[in-house]
Amino acid sequence: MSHLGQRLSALIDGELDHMERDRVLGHLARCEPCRAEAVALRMLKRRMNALGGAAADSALTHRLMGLAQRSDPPGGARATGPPDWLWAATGPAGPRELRPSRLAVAGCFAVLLLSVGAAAFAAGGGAQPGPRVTPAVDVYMIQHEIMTGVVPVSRPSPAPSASWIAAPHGP
Amino acid sequence: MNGPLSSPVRLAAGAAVLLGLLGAALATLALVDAPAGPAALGRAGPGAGPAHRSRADDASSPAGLRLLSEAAAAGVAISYEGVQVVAWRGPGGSSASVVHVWHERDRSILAQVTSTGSPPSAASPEPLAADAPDPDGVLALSQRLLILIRANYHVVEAGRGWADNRPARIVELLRRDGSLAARFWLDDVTKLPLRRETFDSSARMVSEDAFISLRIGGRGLRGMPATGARGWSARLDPAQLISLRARGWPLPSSLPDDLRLVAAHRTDTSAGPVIDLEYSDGLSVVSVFLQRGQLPGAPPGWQKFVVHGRSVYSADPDRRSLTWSAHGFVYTVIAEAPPATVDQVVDALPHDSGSGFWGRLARGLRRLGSWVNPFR
Repeated sequence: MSHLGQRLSALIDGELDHMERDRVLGHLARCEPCRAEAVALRMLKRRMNALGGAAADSALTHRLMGLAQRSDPPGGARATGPPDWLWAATGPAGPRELRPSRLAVAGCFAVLLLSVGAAAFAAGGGAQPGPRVTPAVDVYMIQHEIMTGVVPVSRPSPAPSASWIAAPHGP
Repeated sequence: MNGPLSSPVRLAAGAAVLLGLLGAALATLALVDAPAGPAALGRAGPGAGPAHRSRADDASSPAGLRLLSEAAAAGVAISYEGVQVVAWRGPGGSSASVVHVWHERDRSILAQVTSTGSPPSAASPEPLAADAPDPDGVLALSQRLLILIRANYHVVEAGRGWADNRPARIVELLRRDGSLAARFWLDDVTKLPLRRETFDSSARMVSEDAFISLRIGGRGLRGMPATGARGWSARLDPAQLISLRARGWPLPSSLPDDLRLVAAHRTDTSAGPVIDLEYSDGLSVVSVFLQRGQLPGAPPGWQKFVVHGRSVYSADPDRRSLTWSAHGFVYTVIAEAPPATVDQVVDALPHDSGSGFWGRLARGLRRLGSWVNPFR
């Protein structure tokens, strides 16, 4: 148990003024337990300083930077950088993971495409739409002749409701 | 970074790319195979030909143009009666007929095919059997066809000759490449057309129409039939064509070989409306008839053959009458044109896809598209 309390850690951190520092040092000269605690605090401080000076892992750094960039609002600094696909292709940390929203879009697109393809395949089978009709080719030939300026005679009427009169000259 | 999620992510991305490529391929296939829609077909209506009228005029000779113009005018103003021989040569054979014609001033030409090949008595023309051939290719020249001729051919005078024992002036129609497309013999006195020969681009004769007897004046009209068939009265204007196109009717404003839409008519039948589209370059005339539906099979007496990989039916050896169905429409083409032109026309009009997987898929996409078309 320290007799100095918060003043001991303040001494280690160099936060005491001269008078207070002299009093604390005087106590340490007389008190073995407080000296031992002061030594332990100094060792802890050195260890922590050593940990704080170590270089962070580069992959972790880029990942954290990437997370920070992705969380930027639209129109911010992110908007001036390379597009997502380019960033993903050229980033120093290799291919970027797709976000869940992009995967969902791709999935929806694939499902839609497959649905349309299946529907088209189903609709493309069977007979052609529309009634079965046999073209009245004889009637069409007469109409064709009339359009060329020649009126055939002694043939059936080309149109069901048409009567038999001569057409104006010329196609 | 190469965690456990990376492989599934790559697989998903790869699948998405493959599906995207599949979709693009389907869309491309549907577009390539789709019937010519309103946008692709253009919006020009009947009478659009004069827009490029003077393209060939410069190389035509004034004498040739004047002779042809006089021939068109004579065909309207002069009464005559006679017998023509009409012959066509096609890829599958030839056909010929003898046609009795009457023309009264300012009226249409009346034509009657003789079944024996010999001209009937003008006083008592025998009525035709119902299955007798129509008088395809009767020699006629109108002012409207003349406009198209001037747009698409060089017209030159080519000297003098004889036709039907009459002195004649010869006029030739040349294509832009200089090849001979047609040769007319015009009566030296009246300028009435007496004989016409047409040729394909390989200089093979395609048709030959010639009077073998001609009486000029009204004397021969005493035995003329009183009436003839009437054409479809419902002529379609450009606005009606646009409306029909919006409802899915494939009505092209032009066809290969400078064939322009010059007239469109409609008639209603028990099977629904039928649209008649007339195309011409001045020399060839092609009619395309469309109606909704599908062919139940080969029409009686028609045979199946293939044009540019497309299966069609034809009734005659010279293959000038063709029919097929595609995309919910029945197409019937009746052509007075060189075989190569007819083949190109058939190829340019819609046809059904193949029966394989991709053909079925493309057909289904078209059907789905037609189902969601609000104007159909």
